[in-house]
Amino acid sequence: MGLALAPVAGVIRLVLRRVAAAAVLFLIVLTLTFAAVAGAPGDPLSPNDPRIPTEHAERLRALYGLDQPLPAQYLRWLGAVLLSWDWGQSYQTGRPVSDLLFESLPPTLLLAGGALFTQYLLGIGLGLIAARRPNSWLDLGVRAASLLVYALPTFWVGLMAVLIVGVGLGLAPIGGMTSAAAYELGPLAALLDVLAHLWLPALVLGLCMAGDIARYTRSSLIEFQTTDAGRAAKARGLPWTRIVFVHGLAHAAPRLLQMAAVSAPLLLSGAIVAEAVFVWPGLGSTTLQAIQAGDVPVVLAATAYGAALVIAASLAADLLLVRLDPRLQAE
Amino acid sequence: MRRLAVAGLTAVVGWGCGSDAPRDTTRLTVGLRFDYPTPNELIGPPTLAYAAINDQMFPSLMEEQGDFREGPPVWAPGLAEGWEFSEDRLQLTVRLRSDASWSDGEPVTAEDVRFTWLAQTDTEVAWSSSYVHEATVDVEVLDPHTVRFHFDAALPTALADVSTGAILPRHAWEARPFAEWRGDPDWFFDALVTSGPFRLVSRTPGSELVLGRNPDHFETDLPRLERVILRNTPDSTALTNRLLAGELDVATGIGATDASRIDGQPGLHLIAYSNRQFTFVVWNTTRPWFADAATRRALALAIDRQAIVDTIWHGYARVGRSPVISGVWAHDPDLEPWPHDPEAARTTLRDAGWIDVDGDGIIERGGRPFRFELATNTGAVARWDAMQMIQADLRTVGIDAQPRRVEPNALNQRLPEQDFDAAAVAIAIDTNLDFRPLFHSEEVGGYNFAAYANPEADRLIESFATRTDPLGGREDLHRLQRILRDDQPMLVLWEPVSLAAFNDDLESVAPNAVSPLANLKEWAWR
Amino acid sequence: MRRSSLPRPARAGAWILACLAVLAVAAPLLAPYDPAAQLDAAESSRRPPLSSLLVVRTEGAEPRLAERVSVEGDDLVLLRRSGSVRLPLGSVTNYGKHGVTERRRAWLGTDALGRDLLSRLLYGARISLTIGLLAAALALTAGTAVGSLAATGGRFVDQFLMRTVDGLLCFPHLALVLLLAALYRPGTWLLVILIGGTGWMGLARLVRAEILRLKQEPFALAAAAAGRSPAGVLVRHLLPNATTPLLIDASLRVGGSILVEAALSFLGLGVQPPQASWGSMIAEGQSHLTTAWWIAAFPGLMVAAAVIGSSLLADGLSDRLAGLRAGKGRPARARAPWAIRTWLGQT
Repeated sequence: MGLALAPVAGVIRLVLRRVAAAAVLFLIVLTLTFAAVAGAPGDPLSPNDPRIPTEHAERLRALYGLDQPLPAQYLRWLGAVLLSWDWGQSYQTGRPVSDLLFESLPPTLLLAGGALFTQYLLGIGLGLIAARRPNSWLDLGVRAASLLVYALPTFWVGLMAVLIVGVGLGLAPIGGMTSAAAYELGPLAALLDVLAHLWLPALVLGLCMAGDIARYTRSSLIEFQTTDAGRAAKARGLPWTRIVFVHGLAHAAPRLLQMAAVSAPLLLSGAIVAEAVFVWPGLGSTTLQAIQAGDVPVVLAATAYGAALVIAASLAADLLLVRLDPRLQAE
Repeated sequence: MRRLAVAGLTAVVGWGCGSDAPRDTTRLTVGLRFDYPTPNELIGPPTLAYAAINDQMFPSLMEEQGDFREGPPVWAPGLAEGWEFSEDRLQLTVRLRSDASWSDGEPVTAEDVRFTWLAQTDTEVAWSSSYVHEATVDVEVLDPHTVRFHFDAALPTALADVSTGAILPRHAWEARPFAEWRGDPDWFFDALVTSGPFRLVSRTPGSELVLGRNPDHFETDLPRLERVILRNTPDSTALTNRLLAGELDVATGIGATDASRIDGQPGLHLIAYSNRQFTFVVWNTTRPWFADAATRRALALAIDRQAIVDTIWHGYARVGRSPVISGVWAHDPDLEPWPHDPEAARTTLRDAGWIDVDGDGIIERGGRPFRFELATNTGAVARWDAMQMIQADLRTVGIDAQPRRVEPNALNQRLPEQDFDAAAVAIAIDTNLDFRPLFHSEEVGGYNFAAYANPEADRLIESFATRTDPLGGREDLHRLQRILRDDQPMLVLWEPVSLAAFNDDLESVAPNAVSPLANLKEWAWR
Repeated sequence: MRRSSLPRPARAGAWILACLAVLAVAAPLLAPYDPAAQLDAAESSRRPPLSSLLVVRTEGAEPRLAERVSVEGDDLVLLRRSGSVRLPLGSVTNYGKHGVTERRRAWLGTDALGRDLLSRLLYGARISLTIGLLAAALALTAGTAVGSLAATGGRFVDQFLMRTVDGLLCFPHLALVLLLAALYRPGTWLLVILIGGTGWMGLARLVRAEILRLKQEPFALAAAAAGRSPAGVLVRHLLPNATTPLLIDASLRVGGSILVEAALSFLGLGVQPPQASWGSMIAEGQSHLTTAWWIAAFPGLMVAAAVIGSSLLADGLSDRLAGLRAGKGRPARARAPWAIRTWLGQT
């Protein structure tokens, strides 16, 4: 009994500690973002028509709580966020910011998920091909290609993909997440419609990030073959595919998983650019638009959401790692 | 419409529409750059794109016609079927149509008109155009279909003022106190009743808005389209790509660089129409470089505006000659603009005391080099290119102009405060041709960014503004244009056009300066 | 470090970077034209690579360009994009025996305002490489300082610094730069500070881990036992032994910073003209992709070349490092964990 419980309690403690750390991190992120935005010059609420009476701006200022001193603004904002997840109202549209982000979060998760899937599918696939015969032409080709996709700016690849695949070949819609009047479609047709819009941006974003995975998979597999376990597997006469797929990938898995977590900020950065190119109605587009319009509450919330996603991703990866790697439980 | 939006500082309008091989003639898909956060115009964004959509669901009392070639704006009946002024023009009596009704069956009444006025002028609602009612003292309900506006001054803009802003449904929206309107724009979707030719069918925030035909619309047989799908397409390249890929049948707000891709495409035609704007460089006359008119004239001589327009607009726009743009009745056709003549510019500058004393290639006066910042807002692509060409042109006469992109909000703040050297700005002209905001010496701190002051110009502006027969003031405006040409508080660069592409099978499309969707209700598939 | 110990790809990478640097430094000598000159923009804009236009000079006026010229009576007829223009032959100053022979040749084409793309690329290299190198140097300095301080400054300092680093790492890097760039509207120098100043966190972690590891090595323990101050041990013994991983990171960061600047320019927040970086040139060419592909394509290739160069160099360094760590007799290519780790710190 006691023997069985001890590791469980350890895991729970570990999980709690990580969650607490994540919460503290989130608080730090909120504070840093608020400070950055509060320190910026310019007044986003100044009317763009000189004839608009000053009471108008004052009324808006009062509405958004800007007539109070900065520390009070900060505490009020933080309190509303933490207590009721109320991020205030958009300066531009007057809509509650939490609604706005609630609408733009799923598309970004979808795009990021699709990109992550493509990234790993392409990365591991290419890594396997390259590792099959190290230093062969195929290997060199894969390595060169992974270097190239890393070196080309994502937006450039995206613009080209739209022009060639979308406009030229007509194989994909030109941006957006749904077709016109998609609300008329049935559930299945709607799903297919979204997938038809998703594949190209996900492919572009995944491709631009697949280089790391391919390189790691390759080097990890080659390394595995030199380990005792790898040599033993080979000595037992197992076929290469089996060695690689079953043992080699298992060997690489924890690290690959960790890479996914570490690359979450990268993925979100990529998503901002990809969303701009593919007119994807997600967090990135919302952030960009808000930044351009000086829509402070939306900027604050969108940045915090992005950070929260990153924190959540690394938390999830940590916890998964604990499951995959028993040594960490002892830690 | 007395709305003088600083164009480009607010929004870029873009439209498009789409369908596939066997055309579904009941629907039209329009893509545009828009934000439609609420159906309540008073708390919605003050952009032309927003107004163009909202007008389809919420008509105003009268509708401004988009042609100003022959004379001042003409007003066509909207929800009002007739109106008349009292002798002293201090009262305006408006008769409403008796057959207009809200989408829940309630009739549109005089009470709605009064309610609208109350909402528009309420400080808690804080409508950004509330100044149109500065002269309105009361809106009196005479009977369910007659309403009387009382003014404390006889303004020539009275018709424009009372029809700025849509008529709102009192019975549906009165339940919510004005003070709470700004707090929850979504509420108005729940309480949505409309009176226009179209109704709201569906919306996906940020992406799509679907309008459906109002079968009970008071204009029989209109609208002719069953469904209009508006798709948010933020930039010109994406818009053009969608159009060319067949996802859209109509696209307006196309950039000049993309237009050549559309021009000559089978099944599509391109329309270039005036959007009542002109783009100009305003010189801050409180800065030492721009204090004298001679120097400002030299700048006009040094800048090759024809080359700028040819390069940037690819022949779609024309060089501007005057703030009274060429499509407007009061434009002076005999006005000779300054030619591009760098040699004359050099001479003029020398005569004005600008000489390169220290031999660094930049001219100086009183020890101050002619080096200034030329600002525009971020996102203004054509102006940005133009500013780089201006920089090159001015360099050849020894002037160092530094183009600078400024965030729109910051620029909005800096222009009226004269906190800039020179700036490239676009503005939509007031259709009443009231140039007081732009050039009157008392408007410094407002739209008179140049801090321009000329008593003769002030007098002409005042005398025109008080006329009840605008056509008789044509000579005054011609004189004003000549004074402005000689004083050069601003250099008019070009008159931008809006570019729209339409599917050839669509009939009765007539985009105009008021809105690209101006007569959407009359559009139909052949 | 002997050059010969670098594998071939790394040497190629170093060469690429060196060539780009030479191009940048020698831009005034190599550029055929003034990168900002817009000679007769209406005629010269968006000309394809290898095209050329005749230059017709007249007294006291700007030169005019033409595709072809011919003589009709007393006039020289300039065949231009927008139609033909007649000039009195007598006013043309460079009309000689063989007609007009002066040509303006655009080897890589011209941009939307008629500026010579090749000249702009060369001058753009200065800005892009400056941003890349300085941002990398800044990140390297800041990262090393924070990392060393955390590793040697005691538990409290370590905790404080590393939690701050964790906090900053949570922002998607581009979002952070974008936010700051939009709020504070940077010029070139501020851009360096922004890109460098937001990119040191991964490096600080790396330096800290490296120093903690090296602290346990016999040579460091010996130096400490011999009575050297902690700072002396750090500067004389620990940091010199950590240079290779730092160099790897710095090398990658040069390319990474150029990419970040390009992305910023694409989103409208890059360098301000008249300066042009490769990134801002791509951004300018974006709206002409279908009608004048060369405006964005060539700067795109330059960015790719710089990033590939810096990646190859970093790769080679990390292979060498892996070889050093693993000792002889093991295949040097088998492990490249550094490259992976630092790569993930990018962008």
